[in-house]
Amino acid sequence: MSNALAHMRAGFADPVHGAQQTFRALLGAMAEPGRLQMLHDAATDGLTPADCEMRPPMGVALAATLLTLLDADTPAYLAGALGNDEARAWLRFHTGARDAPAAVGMTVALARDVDEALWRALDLGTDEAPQSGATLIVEVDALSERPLAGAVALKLRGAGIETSRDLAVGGLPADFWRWREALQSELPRGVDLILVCDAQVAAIPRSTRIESEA
Amino acid sequence: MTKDDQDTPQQQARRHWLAVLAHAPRELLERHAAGLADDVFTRLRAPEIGLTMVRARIGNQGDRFNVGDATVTRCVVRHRAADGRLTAGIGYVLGRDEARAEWIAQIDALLQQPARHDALMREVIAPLAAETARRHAAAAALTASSRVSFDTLASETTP
Repeated sequence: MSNALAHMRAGFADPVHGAQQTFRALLGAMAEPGRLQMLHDAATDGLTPADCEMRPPMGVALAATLLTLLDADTPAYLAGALGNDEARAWLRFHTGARDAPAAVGMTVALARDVDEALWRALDLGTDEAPQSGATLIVEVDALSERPLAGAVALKLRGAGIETSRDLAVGGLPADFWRWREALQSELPRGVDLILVCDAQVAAIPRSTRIESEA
Repeated sequence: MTKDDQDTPQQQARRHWLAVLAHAPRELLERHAAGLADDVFTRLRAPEIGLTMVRARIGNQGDRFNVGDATVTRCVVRHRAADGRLTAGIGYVLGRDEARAEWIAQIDALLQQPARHDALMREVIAPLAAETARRHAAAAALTASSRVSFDTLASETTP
């Protein structure tokens, strides 16, 4: 334990402001689905120390998002390659959150680790309590409001979008958006999606319709 | 609530010095911490103030009950020795004194460095332990002077 602590990676330089700034960005991302939110410097400060041994065991935006959303009452399930002891110990130390045994509530994964089994395991909530539906946080390879080579172009419509909004997402499995589309008719049950990449965050809540992909 | 039986000697030793540091008076701790100015520490967890629930048993037996909340300040720092060895020190103190928690964390980190351990035990922990023992003895002596013994004759019916 003491040895693990000696090699513990850094968290927010200023936990209060880091979490507040990140929360503001996440709030903006949820309110305007598909719009990219750049994380504030106050949030990324401390998460990118010069000393490589101090860097968090995941990307900056993913680290900031988890440090902001998790606490002792909010466990998260770390799927695939993220589910290693170092990442678990890091989250436990900085947030006090225990890791959930399965993908029922908050679920975190790297883009390449999202598979159909994970999607099927996600809790959609019930018609009486849709708020208990899962939140899926995925670290993707590329995220842009303009078309990108090698990225899937999405056209989003729904609450928070005036007409339509374009979002290009790279690195997810080919069937990812088909699995997401299958849930659209289940509203208000569903899964809220948070996509992170570098220091950027975008959200696709369950109310957003994905109309076309090229 | 100690679990001395299951712990390694290192854990018991560390528990001892952390207890000594947590009970040490502020002025003495400050003087010893000032001597560490040459050492560089990284804050893993900046000093933060929180609440903890203190629980107890009446007469040290029976069911546990909640005595009340107590303010606790905690801090974690990391120290890298000249030979590259990393140690993490933790400091927990009752109350809202952030500097005290950080000094304790720093001394704890250094105490885990083999190169510094013996000197620090001799120069910091031993005097602090002696000072705490002296204060406890003085308080005990003060109380003992007004001690009343309730001696009663045992009833014949109860063995």
